[in-house]
Amino acid sequence: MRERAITFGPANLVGIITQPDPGVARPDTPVMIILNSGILHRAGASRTYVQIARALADDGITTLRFDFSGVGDSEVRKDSIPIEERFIQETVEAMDYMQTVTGQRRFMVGGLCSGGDGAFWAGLRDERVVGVWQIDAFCYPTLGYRLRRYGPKLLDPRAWLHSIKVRLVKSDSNEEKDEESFVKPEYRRVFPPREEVGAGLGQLLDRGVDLYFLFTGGLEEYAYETQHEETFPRLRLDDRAELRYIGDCDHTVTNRQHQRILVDDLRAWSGRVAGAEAAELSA
Amino acid sequence: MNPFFFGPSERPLFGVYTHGKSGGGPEGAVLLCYPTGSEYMRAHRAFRQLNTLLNRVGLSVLRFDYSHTGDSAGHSEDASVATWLDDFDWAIEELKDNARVESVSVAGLRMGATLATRACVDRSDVEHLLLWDPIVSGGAYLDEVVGRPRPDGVVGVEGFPMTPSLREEIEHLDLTAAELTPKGMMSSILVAEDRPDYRQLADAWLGNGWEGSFRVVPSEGNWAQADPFGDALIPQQIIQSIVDELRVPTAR
Repeated sequence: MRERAITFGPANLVGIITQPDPGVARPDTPVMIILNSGILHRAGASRTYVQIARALADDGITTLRFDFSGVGDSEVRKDSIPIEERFIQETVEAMDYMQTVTGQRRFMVGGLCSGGDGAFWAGLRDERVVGVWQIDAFCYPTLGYRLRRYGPKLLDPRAWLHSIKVRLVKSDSNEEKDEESFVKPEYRRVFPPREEVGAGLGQLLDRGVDLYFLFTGGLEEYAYETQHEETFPRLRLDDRAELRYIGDCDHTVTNRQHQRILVDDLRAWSGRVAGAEAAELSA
Repeated sequence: MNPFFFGPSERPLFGVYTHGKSGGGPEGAVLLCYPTGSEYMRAHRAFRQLNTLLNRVGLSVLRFDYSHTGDSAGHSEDASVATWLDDFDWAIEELKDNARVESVSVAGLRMGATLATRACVDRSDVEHLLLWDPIVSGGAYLDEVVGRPRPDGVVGVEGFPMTPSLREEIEHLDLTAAELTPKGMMSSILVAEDRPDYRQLADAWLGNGWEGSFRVVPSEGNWAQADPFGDALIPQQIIQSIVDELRVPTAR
């Protein structure tokens, strides 16, 4: 395994390429791109992205983990592109760069939370994407969700009282504004309409893009294993979509056992994506 | 900005070097030393801001990830204080080469401050050692993060493994030890909160002939309080104070 630091694209984004040793390298395998989650820099929460990149290198897969502009070590972008568009544009720039240096035209893209959101949108935008993985992806309440989340509370008078108190508390909207050099990048996650996400997932599956989802108990909006498949029945029927739910896992996957499950899942999934791509190319 | 790997080929270290903006003022170089574990993640943004402000006053900066942390080589499970201390030699030499200076300043936060003191106190090429919210006692730090009695085996601390061997090394870190009193170099302790352990450190060093400065710069935020969403802390007041401390012209 070999790693090198790079800057690329018009915004000089900072990234690390992790390449397998020549003996295990699989040149025809799609390259993995890992995207920041929120303001966490490219090492990932609990260094998980580093673990993923190095584990994939052992399997012959090249990875780029990088910082979006204004995050981690990457400078703030001078233009005024909206943040969601910036995620897509810079992911495309990452693919352009990796295509130039590796010759590979197919990519797997993913990340935690907003990183996974970026992967989803970039996958819709750019047909070089053949695999998308998301940790705590956009999700939507089902009847099963409401029963699990609110059922017990409906019978608990303390929950009613708490609800009333919360509504009466005035929100603090007078946060001190940081001066320019101390500005923190902000990303307020907004879930798009369910229909839009459903249509997007359908598009990806129609195109033959492989999907992997990990949902954690740390995501308030998700409550049980099959919630995503019940929301989007196409996922249940399509063998290109895999999903795991770990109810006792927190949102940033801090438990080491859960980190191992995630890394093992992504190794297995990436191997299957690579195998499927190889089969399609030889067909 | 130059992100790069340096150091020993068997365990390359990741660093970011930025050259100070020349403005006719004094030139110099600063090694920034991150905290460890989840505090490293929370501090990354603040370090970048500090880096930028130091560059603006003409100081070149290298900030780097210790072995087995961040983007540097090695598994988190293999982290050790001894290796981290060894990393300082590589980083200081690398900074001197890049900035073309004979001596450097070293500033560290939390565990970074503690390690920097251990690694630099006897060096003749460190002109200013700055400790920012240092971990004064390794034992007290472990009380906070793993509790007592100490658990057996490897435990996760906010997602980062704390092995028995690392715990053992941290247990023995004690900044108040007489041999760690900085002498023959400028030194400063800057803390965001007036706490007994910080006072104890300053008193211990003063009792041992220390001529450095101790300053409380009230700032918001608690490094040890991990945020589940990885929010960054940027304590503006203390960052500006660090820049003011390090920009003081010194004879080179």
